[in-house]
Amino acid sequence: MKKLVLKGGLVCDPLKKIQRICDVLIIDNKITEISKTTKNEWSDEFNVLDLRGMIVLPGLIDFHTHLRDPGFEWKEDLHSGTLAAAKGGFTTVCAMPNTNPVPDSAPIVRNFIDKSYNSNVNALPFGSITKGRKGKTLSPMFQLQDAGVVGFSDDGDTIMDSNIMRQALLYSIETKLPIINHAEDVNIKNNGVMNAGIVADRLGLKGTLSSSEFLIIKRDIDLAKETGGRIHIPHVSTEQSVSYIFDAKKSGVNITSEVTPHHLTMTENWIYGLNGDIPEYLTTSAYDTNAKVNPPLRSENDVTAVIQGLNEGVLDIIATDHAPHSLNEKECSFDEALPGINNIETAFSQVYKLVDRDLISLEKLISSLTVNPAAIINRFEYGSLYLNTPANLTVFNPSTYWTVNERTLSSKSSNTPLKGKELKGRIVYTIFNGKIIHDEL
Amino acid sequence: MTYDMNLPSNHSNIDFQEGKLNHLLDVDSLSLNSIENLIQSTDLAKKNFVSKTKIPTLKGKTIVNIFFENSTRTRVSFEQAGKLLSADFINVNIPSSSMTKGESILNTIKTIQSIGMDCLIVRHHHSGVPYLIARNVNVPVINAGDSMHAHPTQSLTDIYTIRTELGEIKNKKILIIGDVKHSRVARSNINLLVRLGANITVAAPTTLLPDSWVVQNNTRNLKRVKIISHYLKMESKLAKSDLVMLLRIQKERLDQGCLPDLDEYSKLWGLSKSRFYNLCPKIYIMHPGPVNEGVEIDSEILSLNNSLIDQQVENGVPMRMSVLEFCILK
Repeated sequence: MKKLVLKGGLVCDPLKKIQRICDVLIIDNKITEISKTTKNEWSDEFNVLDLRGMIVLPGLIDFHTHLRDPGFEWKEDLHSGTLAAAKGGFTTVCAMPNTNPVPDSAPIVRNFIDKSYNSNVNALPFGSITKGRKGKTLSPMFQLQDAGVVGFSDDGDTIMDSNIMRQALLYSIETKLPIINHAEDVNIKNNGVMNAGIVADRLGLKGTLSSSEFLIIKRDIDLAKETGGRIHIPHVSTEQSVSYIFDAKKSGVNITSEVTPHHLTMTENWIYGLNGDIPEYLTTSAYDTNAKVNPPLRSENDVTAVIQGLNEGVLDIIATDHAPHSLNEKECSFDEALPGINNIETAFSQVYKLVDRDLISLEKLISSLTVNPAAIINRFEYGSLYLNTPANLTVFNPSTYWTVNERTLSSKSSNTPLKGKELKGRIVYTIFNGKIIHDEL
Repeated sequence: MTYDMNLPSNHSNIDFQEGKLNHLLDVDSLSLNSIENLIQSTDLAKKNFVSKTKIPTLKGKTIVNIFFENSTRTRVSFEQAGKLLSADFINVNIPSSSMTKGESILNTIKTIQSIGMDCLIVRHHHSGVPYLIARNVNVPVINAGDSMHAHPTQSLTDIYTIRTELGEIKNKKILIIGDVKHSRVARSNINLLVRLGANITVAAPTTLLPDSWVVQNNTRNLKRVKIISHYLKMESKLAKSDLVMLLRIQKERLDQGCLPDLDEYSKLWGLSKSRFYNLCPKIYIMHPGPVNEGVEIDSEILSLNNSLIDQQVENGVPMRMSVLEFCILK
C-alpha cells in the first residue's frame, strides 16, 4: 500500500482553524501528519499529488440527499448516488426517507445500513417522523435511533397536524436527534408549481407564496420553543423565513437550519430557461422543468436574504437536497413535472461562486459543508482532519473551468438546469477512508 | 393605483419565434410590424371568409389540430380557416381524462409527427405545453390556448375586432373586468393592447388579481396598467370607458375560496341592465366566450348592437387564416 502525500495545497479545516499551505501525509489510510510544506523529495513509496493552487478540505457532508433507495431505483440508488456524491466531493451523505418502503421501523433502517457498507461514501439514514410519512402517527423513534438513524424527517410532506408535530418535538428532547420539518402549508400552496410573483404571472403558472413556507416555520419554531424540542429547518428559501429563524436563535430555541446551493445561486428567472436572464419574449426554452423544485426558486431579494443568513450564521449549513428524477418525469408539462434538482455533483462549484464574488468567506463556505453538519449529526470525525482516523478529504481546484455534461454525470438522472453550462472550479480528488475514490486529473 | 407589468418593450425586429420555424406561442414575440401585417392580411382573408370561397394557398399542406382540452369555437374556427385555405385538416381530441398522469405528451406528438404534418395547433390544460412541443418538433406550432398562460389567436382576433369596429387602438379607454389572474385571454390581450397604446384598466376583486399585482415583491420599469378592485370605482370607470372586456368566471374559482358565490360576483362586478343603461349605454362590449349569462353580463344586453361578441367569433376565422399562412409559408 503506497503512502499518499497531498503536497502544497491550501489546507482548510474550520474546526481546527487551519487555513494555510500544508502537506498532508496519509499512511495506512489515516492522516498521520499535517505540516508546512518543506520537503521536496519523496521516496518511491510515496504517491505524491501536487496540489499547488488547490484547496484541500475535510470530506464534505451532505445533510440532505435523496438516494431514492429503496423503491425508486430508476432515478438513483445507493451505488450511483454515493458515486455522484464522491464526484461532488462528499464523503458523507444523509439519506432522506421518502423511499418505498419508508424507514419507519427498525428492520427497514437496519436493511439500509447493511446495504450501505458497500456504498462509495458514508450513507447515513434518516427515519421518518410519522409512519408511512402520512403525518398521522409517530414512528417508533427510539427504536429507529437504536437502529442508527441520524435524525427524523417526513421530507416532501408537511405534518399539517400541529399536535403530531408537537409530540415529535417532545420525543426529540430525549433522543436529542433533530426533527427536520418540511415547511409548506398545503392550503396556501394550493397546487402552486413555482414561486408566486411576477414570473409565475407572466408564465401563467400557479404560484407558491412565501407564506406557505414561513407560516409553518413560525409554527414549528413556536412548538420547539414551547416544548424545548430539537428542530431543524431544511431548504430555507424566503427572506421572511430567515428573519423568523434569526429571532428563534436569539431567543434560545434549539434550532438549526439549512439552505441549498440552488436557493443560494438561482432565482425564479431560471424557469425562463435562459441562465437566469429575463427574456424580452418567451422563447421555446421557457418552462424549464429542471428548474422546478420544492421549495421553489425564489426572487432576487430572497436569494440575497439566504446568502446573508448564511453569512450571519442564521443558516447553519448548506445541504444539496439532491433530488434525481428520470427524463420522462421532467419531459412533460411544468405542472406535471416532479420537483427536484440533481445537484450533488455540481454543488460545490455552484456555491464556490459566492466565495469568488466575495459574498461569503471560504471558511464560512467550508464550515457549512463540514464541521456544521458534523455537529448536527454529532460525528465530528466526519467533518474535520483528525489525525489517526480514516482520512476523508476533498481537493478542489478553484480556477479550472468545466462543462456540466449529462452523459458524464455519475447520477442515474440528469435533471439539472445547469446541463450544458460552464462552471468555474471543480472537485478534482475525493479521498474516502484513505483511498482516492474520485480522480479528475 | 397602478402596477408595473412584466411586459416586453416594443421590439422592432422580431417576427414570431427564433430559428427558422414560425411558431406562434404567444403575442409577446410579435413585433408591431408583424401585428400590422397580420391585421392587413386578415382584411383580405375576410373577403374569402364572407364569400366562402376557397383559395389554394395551403393546398397539399396538412394541419393537425391537437386538443388536450375541450373547445368548440377555437377548434372549429381553426378548422374552417384551414379549409378555406385548402389545407388538409386532421382533428385529434385527447380529453384530459384519458391522459393518465405520466403518459407522455411528447410520445403522442411524435406519433402524429411521423404520420406527417406541416403545422401543429395545440390546446392544453397546462401552461407552457406548446413551448414543450415546439422544442421537440420540426414544424411550426400554434398555441390555441394553454391554461392560464396565453391565447394568441384570440387576442389577435380581439385586436382586429377593435380596430374594425372602433378604429385606432391608441388611447382607447379599455376596461377589463373579471378573473385576470386565471385568464389566458386577459394575459395576451393586456400584452398586446398595452403595446398598441391603449389605456387599460383592470377591474377585479383582489382575490382574482395576479399575485405580483397584490403582493408586490418585484418591480420592473415597464408598461403600466391601472388596477381597480372596488366595484364602486369600477362603476365610475365604466362611465368613462370606450370598451369593456368581460372575462368568464370559472366555477372552480368558488372552490378555491376566491369568491363566495356567483351571485355576489354578478351583483358586484356583472354588467347588469341598470349599470349599462345608467352608466354606459354607448360602451362597446367584448367577451371571449362562452358567456355565463346573468353572471358576467345580463342576457338582454348581449343582443344589442353594443355587443361585439358575434364579431369576435366571426373575425376569428380570417385572423386564423392569416396566422396559418404566416406560420406555414413565411
